[in-house]
Amino acid sequence: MTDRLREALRDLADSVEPADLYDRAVHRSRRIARREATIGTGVALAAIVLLASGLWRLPEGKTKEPPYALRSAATATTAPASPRPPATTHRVPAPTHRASASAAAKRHKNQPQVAPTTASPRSRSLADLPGHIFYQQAGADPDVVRLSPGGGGVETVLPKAPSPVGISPDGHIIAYAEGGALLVEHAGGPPEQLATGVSTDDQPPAWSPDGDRLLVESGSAPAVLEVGSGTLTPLAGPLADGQHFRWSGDGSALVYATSFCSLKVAAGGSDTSVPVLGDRQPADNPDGLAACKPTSVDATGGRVTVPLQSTGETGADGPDTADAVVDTATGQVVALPVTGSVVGTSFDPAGRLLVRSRHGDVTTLSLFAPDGKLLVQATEPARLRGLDLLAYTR
Amino acid sequence: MDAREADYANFVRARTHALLRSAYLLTGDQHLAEDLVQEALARTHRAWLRLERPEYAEAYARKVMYHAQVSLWRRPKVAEVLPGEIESEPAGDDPADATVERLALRRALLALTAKQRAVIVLRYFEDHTEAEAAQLLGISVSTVKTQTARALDRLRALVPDLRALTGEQQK
Repeated sequence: MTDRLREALRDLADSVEPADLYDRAVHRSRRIARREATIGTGVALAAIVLLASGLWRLPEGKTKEPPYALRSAATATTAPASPRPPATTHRVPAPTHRASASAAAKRHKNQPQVAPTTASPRSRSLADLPGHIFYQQAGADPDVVRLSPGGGGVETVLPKAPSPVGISPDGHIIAYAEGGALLVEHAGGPPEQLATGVSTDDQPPAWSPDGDRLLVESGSAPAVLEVGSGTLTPLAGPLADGQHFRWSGDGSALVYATSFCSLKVAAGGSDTSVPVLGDRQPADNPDGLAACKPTSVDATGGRVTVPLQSTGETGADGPDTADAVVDTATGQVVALPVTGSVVGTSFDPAGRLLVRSRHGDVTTLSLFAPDGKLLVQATEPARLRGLDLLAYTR
Repeated sequence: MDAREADYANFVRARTHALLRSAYLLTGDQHLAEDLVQEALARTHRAWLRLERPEYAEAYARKVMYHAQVSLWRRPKVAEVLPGEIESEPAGDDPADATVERLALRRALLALTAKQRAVIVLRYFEDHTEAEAAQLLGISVSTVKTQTARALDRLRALVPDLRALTGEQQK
């Protein structure tokens, strides 16, 4: 039927003359790099000022309460969720976000960053980096690898993962789906089935900060699974349409993506859109940035790590590894005071930010405290170079 | 030139013409097609380290190319072409007829909106499914269906001879 149209299009495409665009493309790439570097330097200088002034701080207050949004929006099916009081804390944007937002008039992907001379780490020894860092291979069925700098070395914790995985906040349990069954594995132990009818396309298993619950996709909708009882409680209301949920470190907020690759924050019984990202109006989102997959959230929900994408893309189009930190109050990309290209970012439940950056052949891990202080900056073992950063845990 | 740069150079030289063919259908002009592919290749160069696998590069470049077209969707449309403005002599075996047909199709494609043109190229030149086209353009499958149907209708209206190309019998 349409074979002749196909043929005619191929015939028309034959009209194009061959061209060698290598030099032009590289030249254009360098122009883009110079433009970004110019802006990046300005942003980094602003970041230096902010760091020096102590404004790059996060609220330290924590609560162990679960997101009120969950309690108000969820509808129990198999069993009612245990009653929980509303969270008493509200999401407070980190001061750095507003400050950096004003400093960073434009946001750019893969923006080169310049290390501030004022930020010297307390330690340059990898052994001083606390917690566990998880990596995975690129591509299908990746091996999941754990780096425990404090003496545990590097080990493969899940070979050929059949689905996207969720790492527990203590770094000792890994959750994944296989054949619709949600499985969890304690370090070295056999897999244990927690639920069935689970998929991970739009929601990799996401652990609550206390490790008692998992946010999963069940029946094409997000649901909270009580790990102890196996009770599944689907999310209702606007949350039912969300995907790629992640908990804040204090459990008071959930950050999630919409199908249009914008971000929302559910906290304190309300549901707030993160500005800029995913907005298709050039005036509001001049760089056309979008975020389809939040990967980790700081202690309070004020910042989130994401792989930056472009408007019009979907989650399936983009990488799974976060390469940026976004302020959820302003939608601004937070300038990160590290050298080289940022190739990975992740918050741990305590709100510490791990930044993986690459300069030439050297990959560096930088750990920032919630108040922005640079705690550890050390060279990553070379054998991990080809892997993607997955998570950072206690 | 280091190994990565050499890989990129090899990729560019191997795949530029294939990209140019799609870009030509999207833009209808050699120079605009080169500009579009140049931008896609430059963005791919910027992302080369992140791509990890060279086989992802072409998909990435094509995505950039189509998204660059997305940004064009907001611009004013090209000049309207009315039915009858395009010569539509029935094409025969004569090479001149083939040229006329090619010119008619080119002009008709340019009369489509950028979005319609993109779905036609994706569906009937690159042979993507509706779902794949939707994913690549970041729009819904139903939008792809709607845009495809409208594009085919418009092609038939603009160039009656194109009805034969799209399977509709000439009346």
